[in-house]
Amino acid sequence: MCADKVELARQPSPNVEFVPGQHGDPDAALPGVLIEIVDGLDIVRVCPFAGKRRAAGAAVRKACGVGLPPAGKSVSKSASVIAWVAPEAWCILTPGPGTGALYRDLRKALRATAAVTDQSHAFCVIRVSGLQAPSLLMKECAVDLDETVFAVGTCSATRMAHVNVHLRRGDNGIFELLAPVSYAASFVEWLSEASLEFGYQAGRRREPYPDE
Amino acid sequence: MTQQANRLESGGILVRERPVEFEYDGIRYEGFEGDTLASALMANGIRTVGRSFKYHRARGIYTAGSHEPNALVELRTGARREPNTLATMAELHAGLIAASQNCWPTVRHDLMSVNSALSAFLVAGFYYKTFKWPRRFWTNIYEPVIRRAAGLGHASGKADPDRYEKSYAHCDVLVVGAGPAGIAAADSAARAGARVILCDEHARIGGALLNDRTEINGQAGVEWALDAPSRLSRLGVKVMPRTTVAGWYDDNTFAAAERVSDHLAEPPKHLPRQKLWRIAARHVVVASGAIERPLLFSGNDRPGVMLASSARAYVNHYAVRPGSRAVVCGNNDDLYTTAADLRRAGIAIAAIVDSRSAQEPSDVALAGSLVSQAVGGRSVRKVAVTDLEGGARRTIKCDLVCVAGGWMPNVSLLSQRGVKPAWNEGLQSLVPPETEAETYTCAGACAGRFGTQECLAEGARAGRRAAAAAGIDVPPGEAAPFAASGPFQGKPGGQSRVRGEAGKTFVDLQNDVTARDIELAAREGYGAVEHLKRYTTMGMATDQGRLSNVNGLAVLADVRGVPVSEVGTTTYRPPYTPVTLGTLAGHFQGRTWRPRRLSGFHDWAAERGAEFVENGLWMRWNCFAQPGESLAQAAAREVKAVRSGAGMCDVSTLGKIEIQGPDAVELIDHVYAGNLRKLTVGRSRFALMLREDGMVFDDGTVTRLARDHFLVTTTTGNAGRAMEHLEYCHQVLWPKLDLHMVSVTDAWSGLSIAGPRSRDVLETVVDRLDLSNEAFPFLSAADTSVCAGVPARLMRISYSGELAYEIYVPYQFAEDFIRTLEERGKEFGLCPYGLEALGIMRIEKGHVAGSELNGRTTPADVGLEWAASGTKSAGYIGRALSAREGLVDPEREVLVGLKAVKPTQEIAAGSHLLNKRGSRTLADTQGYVSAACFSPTLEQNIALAFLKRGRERHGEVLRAANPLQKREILVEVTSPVFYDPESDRVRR
Repeated sequence: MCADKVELARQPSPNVEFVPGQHGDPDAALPGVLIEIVDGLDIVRVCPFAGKRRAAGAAVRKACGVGLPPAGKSVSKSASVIAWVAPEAWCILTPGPGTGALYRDLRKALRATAAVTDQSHAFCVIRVSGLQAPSLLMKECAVDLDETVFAVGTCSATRMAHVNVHLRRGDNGIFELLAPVSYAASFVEWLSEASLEFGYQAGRRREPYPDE
Repeated sequence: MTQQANRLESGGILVRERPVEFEYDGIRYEGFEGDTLASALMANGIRTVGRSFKYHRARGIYTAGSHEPNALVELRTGARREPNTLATMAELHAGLIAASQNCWPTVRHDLMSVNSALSAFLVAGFYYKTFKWPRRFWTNIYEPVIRRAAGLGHASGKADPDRYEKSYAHCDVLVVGAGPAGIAAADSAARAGARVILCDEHARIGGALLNDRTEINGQAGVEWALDAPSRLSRLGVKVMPRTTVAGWYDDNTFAAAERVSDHLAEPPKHLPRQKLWRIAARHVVVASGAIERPLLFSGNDRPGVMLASSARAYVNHYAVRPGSRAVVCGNNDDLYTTAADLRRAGIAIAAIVDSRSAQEPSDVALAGSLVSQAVGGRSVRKVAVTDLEGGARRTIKCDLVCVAGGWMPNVSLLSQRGVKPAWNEGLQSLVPPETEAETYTCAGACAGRFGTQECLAEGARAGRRAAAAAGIDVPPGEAAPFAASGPFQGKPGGQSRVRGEAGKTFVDLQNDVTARDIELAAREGYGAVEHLKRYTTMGMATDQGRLSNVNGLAVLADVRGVPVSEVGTTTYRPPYTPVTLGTLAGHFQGRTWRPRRLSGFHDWAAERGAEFVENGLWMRWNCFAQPGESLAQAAAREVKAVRSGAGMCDVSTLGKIEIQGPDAVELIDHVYAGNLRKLTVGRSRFALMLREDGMVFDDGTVTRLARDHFLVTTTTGNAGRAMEHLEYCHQVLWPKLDLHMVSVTDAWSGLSIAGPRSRDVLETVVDRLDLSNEAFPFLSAADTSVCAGVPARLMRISYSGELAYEIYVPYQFAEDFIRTLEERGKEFGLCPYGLEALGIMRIEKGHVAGSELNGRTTPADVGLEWAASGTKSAGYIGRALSAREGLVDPEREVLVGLKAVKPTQEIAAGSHLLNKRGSRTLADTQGYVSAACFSPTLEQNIALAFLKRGRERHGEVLRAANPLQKREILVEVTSPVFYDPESDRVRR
């Protein structure tokens, strides 16, 4: 089934509203923080069964071009990311229409080697960047985000603002957060308020699907 | 506006070109930017700034720091009013409004000062001795009177309009206190390569360097200190002024309160008022300095008596004259530094009273003497000086008495972690032990090293040691040396107190504890230091006894005739200084106290005018009341719509867990009471989880999506706990089972489509799936799709008692899906319904919910014994204990239905069931009503209830008594299933 035939529109994190423009610190010439909600990702969780990690890794490599990174790390290839999210659990993120194509592909590829779950809609994906991004996130993140400790590619399952989140440090000073979508409105409310100190701009971004 | 009569012409760290207007007790004054409220009041000649806690004696500014016992004020007005604020710490800002507290009508004329005359009765332990009887006086008379008399300031009683925040921080080395030792430590630790945070409670870092005339490497100490923030920032040190390290916890975690906007009239919109920092440090350098020890003499609390170091601070730092004619009294060389600084400020020195006899006497210096009494009311007028040898007494006129009793290392923070300071006879003080600790280093005055030069050198060494202890590879060598000079020739000598004077000698100024109270407590058997503290309240004020502790111990030692080292000391606890509740709450207060969870249908429902109700964290639909409709009317309309046509209700909030793996069925068989091994692919089943004790834990459905792939649902309220339980069972009880589980609650948004037309509704959206009763009978399940390719999960399950389905679509398609469904369902009368209607329908159908599955009921109690298999071979959690005598007792209360005998009479949930005849007391209760409603379908009031031997009593009439509402009605016992008992409707 092709995405363009689907009769329904995908509305990621529908309960989150942003006001355009720069908010917070009136003296900040540039926003200290940029907040972006990323729409249009397919997310699949892969958990290898006992003794099947190697086989699952190989199958993921074949399907996505990269294998499963070690605990606490993520790898990326073109627009896709494979991030460790819990012991024996990884999430694969790739641009997609959210109609289950990646899930079906991986389910087929990993039959009998891993539990495969479609989580494309389970998370609100938030990217936080800007000079003050670490200071902002440290307001609720107990993990030390100093670059010497939490280097590019590092990821963590942690708790921020009473919400369980997956946090990853990407390239170019971008932090990517996966917050459970039902909590997104509350989480973004905290995030926006905590960003006032630094001055912030917020908006949405849709990753183009590969076949677009 | 009054002039700043006591302001020096020059000097101080003030922005003189920025005068600041403020108000104190309704009168407008002027100060400068850089002032504290205390220094500005002093500049304007205000001497009495407070009334004491118990005796309401006039009190003046005693210190220039956070250990201030007297100058507590109410700051700001309206909702921002904050009581018990230290005037010595409050930074002056334009529009600041402050008021004195604990006085009536004014601080100058306080009627409560009559307490002073009653002081003979207000001695140590007076509450325990006086207010014993009669017992009823306690709450009605004693407590209100004591509270009014002894209280400090008053809270605003209004909601705080400001924001608060929290933040974590990590570092290799945390330096607490930014005096010379702290600055040097931060500098050398950073140069060694450590990540350093430097905190200080004051607005500017520098500590004593700001208050004294010192010299460092040829530069004025004050300049060196003022330059330190930029110097340290360049080294990467995070410098945090206005930040009090309030607590030291396990694993070197610290709580620090930053006063972000307290120095402004109102916080700017983008900033919080205060911020709580949780700092994790590998190593901490405690450089918290030292506090000058007060002297004990009669009347030592009179306004005008203050610490010598504070007098220097006011003169040097704030360019204020604290008096015009001073007596400087003490036991160490700081006397002379103080006298010199005061003289420079134009203050006449009436006498320098030195307790040491070896000092050379001069025209003003009196050796071997001490002040024995200060006389005055709202200000000190004169002092009596007694010769320690001969006892000769002379009177000296003055309006300022500076006391210098030596230095007390500020060991509060160390004490919080159980570091016991030991008595040092030479320093006449409690000093932390000199140990090489793994997690902390003590430096500077806090370690008992009082000279500026020593503080700098020790601080620099401590910084390098801290960096090394934090795991930094510190390059060899020494920290750059300092050449410094300054006061703090701290070695005290001679006697420190003249006994036998009339009048009160205060040890703890804030809690009004006198030397006599301590003596009395010791005599009455409370001579152990911890007993003394409770009995007299010494050290229980906001400074936790930082100012009074050593003097109290000395008096106690004296009474008991033992050395001070044998008396011991009390323990300091967090917080170091009070932390506001707002800071501890941070962002999470009021509506944001906890996060709200919104389903994918939320915006649509809000648009349709849904009334929401909180269910756990979720916002759920309660009803869709039309204009003029009450909740009951709306719910009744919604019930009728479902029973006659079709309705839709948001069930996204149910917990949804996928369990996959070759052993998935094993786990499910163990945790659910039913026999689920035989569940075939494409089928759902209702299932119960029990606790180990045999009581029902949660109910839900189990669906087999594939041979090794299950989807289980839980109730909304138990979703988190059920997930934890399943994880526990897998990780702890049966770790060898090869499976994985993951919550998909957020991934899928669900609607229950219920009613005789629900099949017709669904057929308009579901792609290529035969929904006929034959192809998709009751309890069927399928992974399918809707609206041309949107994945969906469909289960034929009913809670309402009608033909019904649960359909789940991906969250991000939910909103468009429900709009489509609404449009296409119109012709079948599709109507949204909320929890209220759902609650009615489930009572009509006799389905149990949280009020029946309340943790005290077994499957049999609620009529679900069929869901707990007695035949399955494998054990399941709760099976063994289900057989206990009490759990199979035929006398148990079991689920029944109730009908009001008069149909319009409301049955109150919670009512007790009593026999129609016989005892009317609740002791003979036969059971209770768990849920009740007016059934629009039966057009009468019905209820679910638990009744002893209930199954045998259908048809019996009972009384439902509600003592709270003083109501009692007659009810008839029935089957709990009021509606469609054969369940034909769900199977059509």
